[in-house]
Amino acid sequence: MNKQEMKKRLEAIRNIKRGITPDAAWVLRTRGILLMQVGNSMPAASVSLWARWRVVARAFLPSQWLAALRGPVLAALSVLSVAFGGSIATVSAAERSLPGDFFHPVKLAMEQTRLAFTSGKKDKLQLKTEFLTGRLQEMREIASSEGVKRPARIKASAEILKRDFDTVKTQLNEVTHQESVGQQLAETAKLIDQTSVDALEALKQLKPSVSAETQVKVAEAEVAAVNTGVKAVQILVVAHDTPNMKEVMSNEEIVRSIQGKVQGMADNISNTSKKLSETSTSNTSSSTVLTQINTAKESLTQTKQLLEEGKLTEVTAALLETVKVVTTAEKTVVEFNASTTIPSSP
Amino acid sequence: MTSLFDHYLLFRLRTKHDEQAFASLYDRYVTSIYRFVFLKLPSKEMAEDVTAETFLRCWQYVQNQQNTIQNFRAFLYRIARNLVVDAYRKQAITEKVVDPVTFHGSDTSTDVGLITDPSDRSRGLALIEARADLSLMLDRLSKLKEDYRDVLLLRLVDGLSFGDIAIVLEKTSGNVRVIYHRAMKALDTLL
Repeated sequence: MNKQEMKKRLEAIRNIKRGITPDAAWVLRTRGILLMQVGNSMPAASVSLWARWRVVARAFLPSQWLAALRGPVLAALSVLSVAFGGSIATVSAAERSLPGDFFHPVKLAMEQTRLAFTSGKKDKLQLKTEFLTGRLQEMREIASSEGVKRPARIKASAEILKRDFDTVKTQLNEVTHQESVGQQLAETAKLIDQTSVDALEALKQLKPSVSAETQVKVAEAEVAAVNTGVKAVQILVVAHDTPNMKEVMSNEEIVRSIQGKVQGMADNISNTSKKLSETSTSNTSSSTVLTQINTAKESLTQTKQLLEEGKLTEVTAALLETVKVVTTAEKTVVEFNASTTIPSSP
Repeated sequence: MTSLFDHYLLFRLRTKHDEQAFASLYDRYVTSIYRFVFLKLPSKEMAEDVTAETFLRCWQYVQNQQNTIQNFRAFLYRIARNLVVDAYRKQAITEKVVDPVTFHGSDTSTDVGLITDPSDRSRGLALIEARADLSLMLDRLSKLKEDYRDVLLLRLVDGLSFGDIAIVLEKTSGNVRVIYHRAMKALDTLL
């Protein structure tokens, strides 16, 4: 008997006639016994729909299918989790970022997206003001931080702050041109004024510790903050004169706010004069700046006088004029200093 | 297709509590399971006991809705194989001796000399011849390793696929293929 023959004979055992079959009587007897046992132990409770579905799924979805699907499904889930998880991580990192950080542009882009999805100029202004307070908070964090990145961060922060103040001012102008001052706008203007005051304070503290080059940026941010603040005060003055809106900001609060700005301007004039005396500039440049400073002083005196007289509307216009002159003088001196100083350290 | 029908019967048994579904499953597999255990056990009585026990164990397993059965046929063979092992363990049987006299076909044991009808007589002769063949083959198979013998019987006698045998023996399909080819080679050297 060779191997093939043996194979054939083994296969032939399957053939009932030639092979091994159980005794028919035993088969029937055992069948009966088993069915009796099955019948006795058959659960009486009906099977729930969910359990039926599970049985069907387990029985008719072959494990091979599940195994074949497992790979692609897991891969897809991994890709999705990385994509979504990555996005969440990026957003989270961006939320905590400061100017000069890798993720800060993402934060700004997210803010722009939120602005794009906001309808209504007043709502946009409110949202932008919210972002502005965030910018100020960033600047404070940078000011209190240490490290090699600090000078670059301060510069970047000042630039962004200036840009945001300018945007807010533009938005304030647009809103006031389109409609009369209402409760929401007055509230927003109050917040902008407060942010402007806080920003000026922060920038003033920061200025002495930065390089001449960064000082130019800080000075520009200061100017933007003052201009926006004055514009906000103008709106508050209008709101104050409107019936039923006096509770937004009292007369004393407005006066105090303007006095703060006047005092800020006076300090700026004093600092500019001091810097000018310390700078060995040419006679022509020096005399130009001196003229600007004198004009600013005159404008400031006039503003103070109007404030004392309680002419708030005129005060804000005069204050804007003073800001313009002081800014020009200060910028001239700072730029001249920046051009003569090597910007090596903050 | 066979597997699908098994799943359908199992579905009816589990969800509709259909006793006849179990009866159908029994009818489909009782002969092959009996043959499988019979070739591994020394007596017909033991084979009958183990076969009946196999179906009872199967029912006990099926009763639990949490238990899944991917391949009913392979599942039955697996229970049967484990019960054969248990039977040997219980009775401390060290050597399997299959007595050809105990082979009973569906037409029961036959004394060829008492058969008067010529057609019955030729059938009886064929049966005796088959039993002699089987005895010889089992004798040769008994010289093979346990795994080799199991794979050969499941593949050639019961006609299970390598995948099904893998489930019965709790091995991988590739591993079973290797065992099968080695068993065939070993069988060749014995012949």
